[in-house]
Amino acid sequence: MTITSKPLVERNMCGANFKFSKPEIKAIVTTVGRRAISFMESAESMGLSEKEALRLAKTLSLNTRHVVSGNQTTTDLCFESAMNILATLNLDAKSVDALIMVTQSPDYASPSSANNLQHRLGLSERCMAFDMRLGCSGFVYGLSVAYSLVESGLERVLLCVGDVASRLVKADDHSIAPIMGDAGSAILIDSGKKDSFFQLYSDGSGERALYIPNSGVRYNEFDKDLPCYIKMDGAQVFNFTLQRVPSMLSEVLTFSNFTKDDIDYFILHQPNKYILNSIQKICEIPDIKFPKDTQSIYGNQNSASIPGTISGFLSHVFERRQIRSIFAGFGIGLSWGACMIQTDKIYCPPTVLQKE
Amino acid sequence: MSEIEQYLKEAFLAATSDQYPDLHMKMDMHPIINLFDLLDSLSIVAVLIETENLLQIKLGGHISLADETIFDASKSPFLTWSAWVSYVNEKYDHH
Repeated sequence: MTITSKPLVERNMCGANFKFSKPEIKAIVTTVGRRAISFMESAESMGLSEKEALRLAKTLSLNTRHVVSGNQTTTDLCFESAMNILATLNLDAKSVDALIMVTQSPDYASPSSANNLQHRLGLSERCMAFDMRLGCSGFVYGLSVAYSLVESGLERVLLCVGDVASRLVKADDHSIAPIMGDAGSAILIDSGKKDSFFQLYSDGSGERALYIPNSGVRYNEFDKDLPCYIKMDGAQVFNFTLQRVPSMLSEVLTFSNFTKDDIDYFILHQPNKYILNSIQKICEIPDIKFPKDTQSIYGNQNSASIPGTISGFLSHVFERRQIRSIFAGFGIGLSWGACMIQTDKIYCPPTVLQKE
Repeated sequence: MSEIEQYLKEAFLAATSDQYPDLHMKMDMHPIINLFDLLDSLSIVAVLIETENLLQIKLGGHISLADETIFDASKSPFLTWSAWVSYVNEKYDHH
C-alpha cells in the first residue's frame, strides 16, 4: 500500500494526509426512503404551533425529507443502490474484492452489516467485508479506506454508506426529528489512474456534542434515564463546524496543489442551508460550485449526504464529463475529513426512490 | 444610534419578537442584558439570518456573520447588545 504522508513538522496542523494514484470512482447510486414527509404537514404531530413551525422552516430551510417505512434498514437502501450498479453495469458480483459499509444504524450491533450485504448481493466468499462506525464524516473516511485497498492491489471495492436516521430520533422531538432523512448510497471504486488527496481529522473531546446515550455497553450517571436516541448540542456542533471546515477546505486545496478555480464542485456534508451558506461565504466559493439544497429536500442523510448530493443535484454533470471535486464531511465524533477527487464520466443516475 | 445599529435593531426585533415579545423592553431597561443566556440557539441563528439579509438589502453585498464564537459562552457577541453592535461593525469594516 502506498501512503505518502506530509512531513511530521506539519502533522499537528494538518492531520492525517495521504494521496493515491490508482483508485477511481466508477459509479454512484443513492436510494432514499420512499416516504416523503412535508415538514409543515407534520409539524402539528410534533407539538409545534403553525407559528413555531414557520419559524423553524424559515430558519433551517426545512421543506421535505425522505424516510423509510416500517422495519426498513440502511442495508435495505444500500442493497438497492448496490444492485442497481451491478445490474446496470452488467458486473459480475464475484468481481468485487471488498465491501465496506459505513453506518451508525447497522442491522445489529454485531455482526457487521457488511456481511449481510455481501451475502445478499451474491458477492464472493473471498470478498472482504467490514463495517465502519462513522456518521457525517463517514463517506470521506470510507472512501479513504476503499482507496487504500485499491492502491494496495485490490481491483474493485464497493463502498456502501448511509443511515436510517429517522429511526435514531424520537419521532415527536421537534429539535432533531424534522432534520433527519434516510438514504443509502453505493459507490463503486476500481483500479485505474487518478490522483486523489485525503485529509482526515478527529477530536474525541467533543464525543458528547452529538451522541446516542445508552446505545453501547457504557453506562454513565449523566446518561441515566436518557432515551437511546440521538442527542445533539447544536451550539457546540455549529461552533465546531465553523472552526474546522473552512480551514480544512483551504488545507486540502494546498495539499493537493490546486486552487479554488481548479475545482468544479465543493460537495460538503449537508446539515442545513445556513451553516453551508456561512462556510461558502467564509471561503468565498461561487454558488454554482457549492450545492446546498440536499437537506431541504431529502433531510440530513448523514454519511450518504455527499453521494446523496451528487445523485440529487449533479448526476447529469457527473455522467457527462470529467469532474474535479472537493468532498468534505464533518460531524459526530467529532470527526471531519476532506478529499480532492477526480472522476471521468461515471454511472450516476438521479436519486432513486426505495422500491415499494 | 448609528445607521448599522438601527438596522441591527430592526433585524433583531424581526427575528425575536414572536418568540420573545417583551425582550426589546428588557433591552431598553437593561442595556447590558445577556442575550446569549436569554435566546435559544434557533433564535440566535434566526437573528444571524435576518441581520445578514437586512444588511444585504440596505448596504449591498453579503456579510457573513457566523463564526466559531457565536455559540461560545465566554466569547459570543450576543453576551450584550453593545458587543453585538461592535461585532457586526467590525465584520462590516473588514468586508
